[in-house]
Amino acid sequence: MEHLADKIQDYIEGQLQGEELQEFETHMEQDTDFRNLVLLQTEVHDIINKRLNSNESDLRESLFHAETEYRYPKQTLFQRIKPIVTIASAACVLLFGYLFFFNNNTALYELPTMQSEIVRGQESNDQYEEAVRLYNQKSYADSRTILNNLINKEPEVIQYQYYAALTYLGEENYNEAKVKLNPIANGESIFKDEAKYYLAVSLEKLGSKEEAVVLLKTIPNQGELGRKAQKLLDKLN
Amino acid sequence: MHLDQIYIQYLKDNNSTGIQLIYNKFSKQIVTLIQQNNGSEDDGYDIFQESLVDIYHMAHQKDFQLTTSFSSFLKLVCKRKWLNALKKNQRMPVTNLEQSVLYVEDESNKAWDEMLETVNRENIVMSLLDTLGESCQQIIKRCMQEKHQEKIAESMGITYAYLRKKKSECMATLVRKVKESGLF
Repeated sequence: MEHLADKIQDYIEGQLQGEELQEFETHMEQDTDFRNLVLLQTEVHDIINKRLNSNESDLRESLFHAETEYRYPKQTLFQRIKPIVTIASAACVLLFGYLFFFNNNTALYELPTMQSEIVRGQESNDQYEEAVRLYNQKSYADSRTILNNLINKEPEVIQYQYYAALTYLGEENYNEAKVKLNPIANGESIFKDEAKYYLAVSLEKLGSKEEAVVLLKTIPNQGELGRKAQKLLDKLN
Repeated sequence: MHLDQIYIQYLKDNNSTGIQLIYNKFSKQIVTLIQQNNGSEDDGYDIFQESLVDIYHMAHQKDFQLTTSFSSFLKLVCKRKWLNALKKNQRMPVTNLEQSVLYVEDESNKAWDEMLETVNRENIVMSLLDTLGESCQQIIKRCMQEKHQEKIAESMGITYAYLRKKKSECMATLVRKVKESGLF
């Protein structure tokens, strides 16, 4: 069931074929819960697809202008945005309060699990999967050796660099972790916020608390990472 | 087709002059309505704006036709939205309000109710999407909007396999949240 659950998105996108597709559809016929899950994910997928292509943001912009024009015809920009700032500040206070009181158990210094790449229809990258296995069992130096090989072959793949940098953190080599995480945190890849967080952890461990605080404040507050960053920030303050 | 269909068209076309007209003509009555039902002026404008967005989405559904005045329809949408907001925030007992807010005038309201329910479900999914971490949001949104996933992976500094795996994981998290919302 679990390996099939991993394939739901591929099924929705029409990427399953042959035996895999047959196995998936047979399971759907036999298992009502699984079928319902597939149907729900399909509905969610379709909704997002529809909404993202609806040009809603353009409409919102026009609505915002029309409202501003109607409500504050002669006011300055500051006067116009003041209520928004007040509401946003209140929302931030509430959010931070919630995060502080209800999410107290996150392990702030724990490294993330290294994500396997094994997916349907793709040949697995054996070297990478070995690095995943070693990293997740905390054999950081061995994992790093493989990751460095991969970095040499594909220097543009930030994913390898990110996990290689984390291996230093796993070894509590904070200086090296800082050096390796810094360019990722300042880059534009999807790892930039995670890199900022672990760079902040390294900085804290190295005694640069103020630098860590500055960095943590730049992490968006959504999701698990946002909550962790806020919690670490609270701790450092 | 009702003459007021023009206001729907203004929204569909994102016609800024038409949208300004809608604000000038209808916003005050809605804001007053919300204020009379335990809301503030800002609540009124928020409900007005969000309702116009809902109408925009409804208008894109197949066969959408306005069969009454825009004012009545807008009021129905705003009342329903405000009722949901009150229920969510538990700002006042809604039993009595519900009667005045949601009474059904004719059969067409029934169809609108269904459309509004659909739009509400969509709104919930989109707001839950915004609660995911930034990388998950980025992956889901880009994969839905751009055709070449290999290129997305490349621009994100990850392998194609990692992108697919991560997208699967992010969608599963979102679906779990949707399920927990109890509305699906």
